[in-house]
Amino acid sequence: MKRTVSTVLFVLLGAVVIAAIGVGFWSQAYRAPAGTQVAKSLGTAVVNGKTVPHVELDFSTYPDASGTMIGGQPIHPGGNPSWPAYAPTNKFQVPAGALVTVKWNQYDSGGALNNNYFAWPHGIYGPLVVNGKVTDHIDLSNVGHTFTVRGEPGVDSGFFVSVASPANGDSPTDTSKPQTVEFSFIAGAKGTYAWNCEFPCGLSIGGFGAVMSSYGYMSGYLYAV
Amino acid sequence: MPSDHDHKREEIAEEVAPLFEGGPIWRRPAAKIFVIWAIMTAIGVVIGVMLPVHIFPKMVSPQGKDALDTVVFFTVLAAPVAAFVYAIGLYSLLAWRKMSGKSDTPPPDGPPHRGSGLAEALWVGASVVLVIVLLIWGMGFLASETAPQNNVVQVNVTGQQWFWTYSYPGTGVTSNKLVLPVNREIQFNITSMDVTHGFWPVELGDQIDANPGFITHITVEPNQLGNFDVRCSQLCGLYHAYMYSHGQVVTSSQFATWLQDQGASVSSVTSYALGKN
Amino acid sequence: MTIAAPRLEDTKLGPKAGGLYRHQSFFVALPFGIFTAFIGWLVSHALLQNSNWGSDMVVTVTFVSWVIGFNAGIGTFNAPFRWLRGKDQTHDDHLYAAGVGQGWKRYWKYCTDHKVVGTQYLVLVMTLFFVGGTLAMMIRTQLITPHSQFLSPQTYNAIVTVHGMVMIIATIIMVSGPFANFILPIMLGAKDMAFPRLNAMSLWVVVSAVPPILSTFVLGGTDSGWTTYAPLSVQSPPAQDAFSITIITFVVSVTVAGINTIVTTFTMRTKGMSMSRLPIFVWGSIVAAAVGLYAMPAFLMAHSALITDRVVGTSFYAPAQGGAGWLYENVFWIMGHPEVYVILLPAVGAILEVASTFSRKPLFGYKVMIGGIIGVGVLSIMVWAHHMFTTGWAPSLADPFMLTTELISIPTGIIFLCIIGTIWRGSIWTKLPMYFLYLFLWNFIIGGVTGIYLSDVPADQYFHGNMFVTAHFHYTLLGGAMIGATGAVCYWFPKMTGRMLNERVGKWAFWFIAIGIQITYYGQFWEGFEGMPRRVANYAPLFETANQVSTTGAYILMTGWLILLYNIIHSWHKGEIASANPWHAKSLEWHTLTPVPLENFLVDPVVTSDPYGYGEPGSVPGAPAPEPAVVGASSNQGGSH
Repeated sequence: MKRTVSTVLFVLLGAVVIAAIGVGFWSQAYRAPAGTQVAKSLGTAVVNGKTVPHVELDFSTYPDASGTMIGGQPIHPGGNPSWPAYAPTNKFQVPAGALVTVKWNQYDSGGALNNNYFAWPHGIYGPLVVNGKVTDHIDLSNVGHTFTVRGEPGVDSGFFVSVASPANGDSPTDTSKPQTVEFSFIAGAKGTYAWNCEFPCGLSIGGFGAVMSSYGYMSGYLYAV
Repeated sequence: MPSDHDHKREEIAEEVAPLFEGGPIWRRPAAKIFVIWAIMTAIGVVIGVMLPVHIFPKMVSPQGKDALDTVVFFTVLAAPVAAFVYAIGLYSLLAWRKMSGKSDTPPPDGPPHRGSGLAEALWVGASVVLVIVLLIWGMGFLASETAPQNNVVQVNVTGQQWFWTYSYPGTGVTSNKLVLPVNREIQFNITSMDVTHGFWPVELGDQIDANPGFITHITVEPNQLGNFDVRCSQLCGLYHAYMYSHGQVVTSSQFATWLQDQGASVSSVTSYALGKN
Repeated sequence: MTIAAPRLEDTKLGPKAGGLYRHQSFFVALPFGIFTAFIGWLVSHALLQNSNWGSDMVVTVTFVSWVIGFNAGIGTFNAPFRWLRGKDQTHDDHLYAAGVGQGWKRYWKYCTDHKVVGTQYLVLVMTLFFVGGTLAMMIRTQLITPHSQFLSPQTYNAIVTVHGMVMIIATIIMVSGPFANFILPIMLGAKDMAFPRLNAMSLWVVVSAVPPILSTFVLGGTDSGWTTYAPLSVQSPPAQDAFSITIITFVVSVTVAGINTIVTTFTMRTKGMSMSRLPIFVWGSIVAAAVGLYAMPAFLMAHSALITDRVVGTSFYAPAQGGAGWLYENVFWIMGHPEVYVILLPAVGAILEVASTFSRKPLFGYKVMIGGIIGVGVLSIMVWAHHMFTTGWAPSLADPFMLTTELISIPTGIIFLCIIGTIWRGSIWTKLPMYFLYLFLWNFIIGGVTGIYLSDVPADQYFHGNMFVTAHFHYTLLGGAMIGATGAVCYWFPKMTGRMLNERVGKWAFWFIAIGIQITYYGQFWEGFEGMPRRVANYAPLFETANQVSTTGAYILMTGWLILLYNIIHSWHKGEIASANPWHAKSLEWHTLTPVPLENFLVDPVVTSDPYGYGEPGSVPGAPAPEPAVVGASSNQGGSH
């Protein structure tokens, strides 16, 4: 009996230690920015004959994550302050099936894409408006970042959104002169959608090392709830 | 001095005879081992025939079907072999267990048999036969994956972190969805822009790595209409898990329509569909 | 028996015996290693701060400094430096280095006594399995739901990588570390291994290899799996350099240990111990060591080239400059395939000893088994490209590699022949080690058969990179080799610790482990059939049920291992005191005292037969047969008819 009790206690102790290590890994999460941006409501809209919520997401891309451009806290507390980053956070929440309007201020410099596919917008509803003008696609050799939201693995709903933004070549640090990109898309069904930037602004092989391979700077999630 | 021949006969007699002794047929050790073996083989065969077919995705090409058939065949072939080992293992616990673990004294020693040339030869011989059968099976299927013939439809596949794009040369179409015409030989030309990815159109039953700096090729002929998934099968970094795209096998006219919807001109679609690119 | 002569281990040594060793231990080496690493970090940081490769060079220099510093601190370089100065160690120094007069403290020091090294390895292996197992639980917990956000993809990939590598390190040393060190020399009738100082070195070098790989979690995490394929690993965060340093350091240790095992077996056997009287465990260990000597340098080369690609910009693997990922893949798998037999063969050797002892029968087909073990070793170096069937590297080589891979099933199958031949009509004694023999039999068949599926190229075109592969190698490595190692622990525990492992608690552990393995890895075969790729943090919804089954099994398995860990710790501390030969076995290690004297035997043994004389006339329980044993059922058995 005593042996049984001490065995069970030891197993529980082991489980607690393992669980504590699990909590450690969960909280580390490679220091992604905290918080999820809940899209703000703009009322409703009629899309393909149905009435759906209309919401808005606002984000910016900065040449570095130090936060000096926005005069505030670093975008990535504890992360690498010299890497470009999406701000204020890399996680977005929208109602499922809603019409989502995105307003994107792009401050960072850029260059040529490695795959011209991304210069054109995909999966958007309505026009792509860049710096106030309706545009067909971004100049292939002068792209800043892309916002590419992929469908859930294995779910063939056809949901896929990808939009590129121009590089802010002359004034990447001037807070008054971002490149502005505005577009809308229809959010997918309830789920978790991973997004990332497909412009290789990192180091090493293919330009996808360093910042591009570190979760939270150029990658994140879109939650449709 | 007994000759080697008598040696062997005595050896076999000593080893094998006791199995067939001991009362009515169903009580003899050989019979019991046989029954256990037969039951386990039957279970293995039933599992092999019924289970993979239900769990595998629905294949849309002969190569996919080959993979599934191989799994079924190998399982059915392995069942009697595994059952033989398991049956002896189980029987040993039922009949030859002379002392439980609770005792600190060992049971008396067993018979001092150090080997049997016959058993060893039979075993190795049977293994060789099995390997030959497996090889013929495998090489047969591999040989059927021949080089492409005429009128092959070319599709260029580009993998990058973490995305697949498919282009249909000559039509100017680049897409993130892989649409293919049924009953045509498709040659995929695959490369990567950064690291090694694994191009795996699952229900087409074939896959190959996308290597940066090289172009690799596989040829598939889908023979069923339907949907399929393309997954990345080689760990490629942060978003490897999300590197999925969708595929569809459609009729030739649907294929031509789709290409035109993506922006291809009618003339380029016609020459492309004839395999002239 | 009573001995009037004083024991060697009771020798009183002078106050200066041991020299520098007196002041060295793990507790000195650890801070010294950290200090040296810090100096390395400062120097490289100062020199290379502005370089593009700054981080990689800094991490590399820091960890190389750590390895050198730790090993200097523990005493690895003492003897060579002494010798370089034209001096040598005195007899008292040798005795001090062997642990005389230090009591329990010698387990924390550089101790040349192979029994101490074996025990240190046992504790190291259990620690590594705890670390690797915890990481496995992280992985399985993440995979409970398809879109789990428990771990970010970066954390997940880092955990998958470290889990794999820690487990590979642990499984390579799990039998060769504790048992080829502690037991093998005694089995040969030797006083120690051929190179006692190198023996201690191999242990402490592995210990120094562990912190770099654990630090990868705070250096950005390696995202390329334990196989660290280039060019992805060229792109990885600085953690990859720490990982490569671990590999290079580990290879040094394994090479040294392998040479030691082989030389010991060839030169240190006692009188009468001919090669054909060697226990099968020794054969398994030396063939594995030989295969390791062939394979491990390839691992070192693959990673050295990776470090230079990352740190100084060579282009072995960088396609843009003419390199190729295929180069890495080939060199890696030239190591990677033989390596699994380095893992397997010692465990098979150990479990065959268990089979013989607990069936009270000679090992069936001893000579054919040796042929099988050597056959596996030789063939293992010719099959590596079956890991590369779908890389597109050399399509015309698919058939030849399919041939060699399927051929290897023939010598592997001989293992089953020998096990079932041994238990056939034996007198089975179901003690705890025997339980693990049966589990090994069950698991290894499944692992081996599923390997055949993968060797078939058309099937591999579906299964490559898919969870089926993961399930296959876990069945062979965990279900086969590790269960064999667990059987070895249960078998040799009384000799190594002087106490008996508790049978009742052990059986509980056994059943949780046995059932846990089946559920966990059947779940993963199911995932593989459905088409789930490997190394994915999130997956398609259709795989959810299979994953939940596998995770349930993993929790059951974890419970089993924890129960076994408790049993080992508790029995080591408070178990029933063991006699010298509790299993009444015949090999030489059971014919010396427990605890084993410093030079293993009080009187040099003379061997007259192999250790498998069960049932032979004149065979007294618990002693080698007095006359040479006769093969087969001849009517002329010895001279007693």
